[in-house]
Amino acid sequence: MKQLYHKTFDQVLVQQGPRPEQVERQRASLTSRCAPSEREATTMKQTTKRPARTLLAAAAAAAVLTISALAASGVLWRVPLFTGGWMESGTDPDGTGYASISGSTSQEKDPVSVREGRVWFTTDTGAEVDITGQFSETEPYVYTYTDGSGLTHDIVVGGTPEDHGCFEFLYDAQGDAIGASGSYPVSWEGWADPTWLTAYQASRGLRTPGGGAESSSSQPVWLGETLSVEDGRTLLTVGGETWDITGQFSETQAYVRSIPGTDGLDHVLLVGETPEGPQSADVALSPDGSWTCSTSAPEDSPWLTAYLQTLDAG
Amino acid sequence: MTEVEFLPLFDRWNGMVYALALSVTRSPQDAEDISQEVFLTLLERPPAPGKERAWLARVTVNRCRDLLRSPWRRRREDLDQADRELAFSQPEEGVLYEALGALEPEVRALLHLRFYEGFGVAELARQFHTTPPALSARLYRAKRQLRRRMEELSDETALS
Repeated sequence: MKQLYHKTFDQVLVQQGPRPEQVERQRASLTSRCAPSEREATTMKQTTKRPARTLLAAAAAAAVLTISALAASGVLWRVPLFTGGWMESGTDPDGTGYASISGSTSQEKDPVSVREGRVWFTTDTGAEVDITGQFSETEPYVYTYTDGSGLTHDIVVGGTPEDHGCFEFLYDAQGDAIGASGSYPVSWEGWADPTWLTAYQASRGLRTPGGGAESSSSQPVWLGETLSVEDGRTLLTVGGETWDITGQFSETQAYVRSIPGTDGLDHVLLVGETPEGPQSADVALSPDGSWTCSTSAPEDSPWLTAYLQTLDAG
Repeated sequence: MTEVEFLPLFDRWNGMVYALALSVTRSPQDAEDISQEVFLTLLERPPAPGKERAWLARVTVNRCRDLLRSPWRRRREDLDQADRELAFSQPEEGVLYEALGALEPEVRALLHLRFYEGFGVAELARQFHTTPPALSARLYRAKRQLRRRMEELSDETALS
């Protein structure tokens, strides 16, 4: 059996393994996020290399939806993103709307290029627009177009010509926001959204991460908790530590554990639902009283909403 | 983690991470995404030196589990179907691959780590938070499940 498995999976990898150029792109993308060596730190200079994409709403793993989910006609659709990757949306059988964004760094696309002192933006039609001087670290340049599905795409660029970020915001035919994805400037350290990005969100009346109020400038780093069910026991694992939380949660009452995050924020881990199908949520608490929640559970889960209401009640 | 520390680990273990993710998710796209997430986690929270192989395997299985639980991922499965036509040199290889698809993802992970990556029972017991005897029992059940499914598929093929 072992030999057969080996022969079989070797053939699977030949047909479905990553191409060398994919591996190289991934390698380069990850390398750009490495810490500088001691020697490099003393001679650090600005690089135009872009960091890996940041998905504000992601299909894989727990994600944060900062914008209301689309409740469409129930028909599944899939939209390629201008900035790479794709987004899909539809309605679950119980009527709950969902939206998801997914993609890999190999699909990342930067529509901004700098040539001979001018900044050019390549549009969805392939045309090049001179946007020199039209964006800064405080004010964004916004390019808008409507695709064949009737969805509106706002491509938001900000920063400096040498170190810019680019985000894509999607809106449905009614003008409701359904998701966002993009890349921050290389110099962005992840502690606050750039001013140009929050300026755009404010101009569109979009809620920035937080509990219903204007957000603090903290950008959470999620704990990456995992849940497993082994021999009837529910195990919660975070940062190498595991707790047996069997019988300590239900569909209406969450198990709650406070954990300090690596982002300087206090995090509260919640677990709820049934013993056979537990779900988790990571709530990052900002000093100003606002909060951000990352979860793959439905937003109206009783165990989750009950806890979040206690936060809003102060 | 610096580039000098990271690159050897990536070059050495990228294949294992991708293959494990592919065996569990059965989707090259998901495997690529999970591989990226796993190595990002490695950069942010590296394990103790010498423990990277087991750590990477455990984190990969956990990420696969998270992805497969996500309600959004259920939608992506339908869209990925067209990408899954594979060719094998022997019929029994195709039967094995199809039989693996009928197993629970965690069982696929266990079999892959045992058969393909050569993890020992003690290592796997730590990975799956259980004891070596319990892990051995799980392996036995997994192999039996796989064999049964392969027999069913072979019978179906013979009858058709």
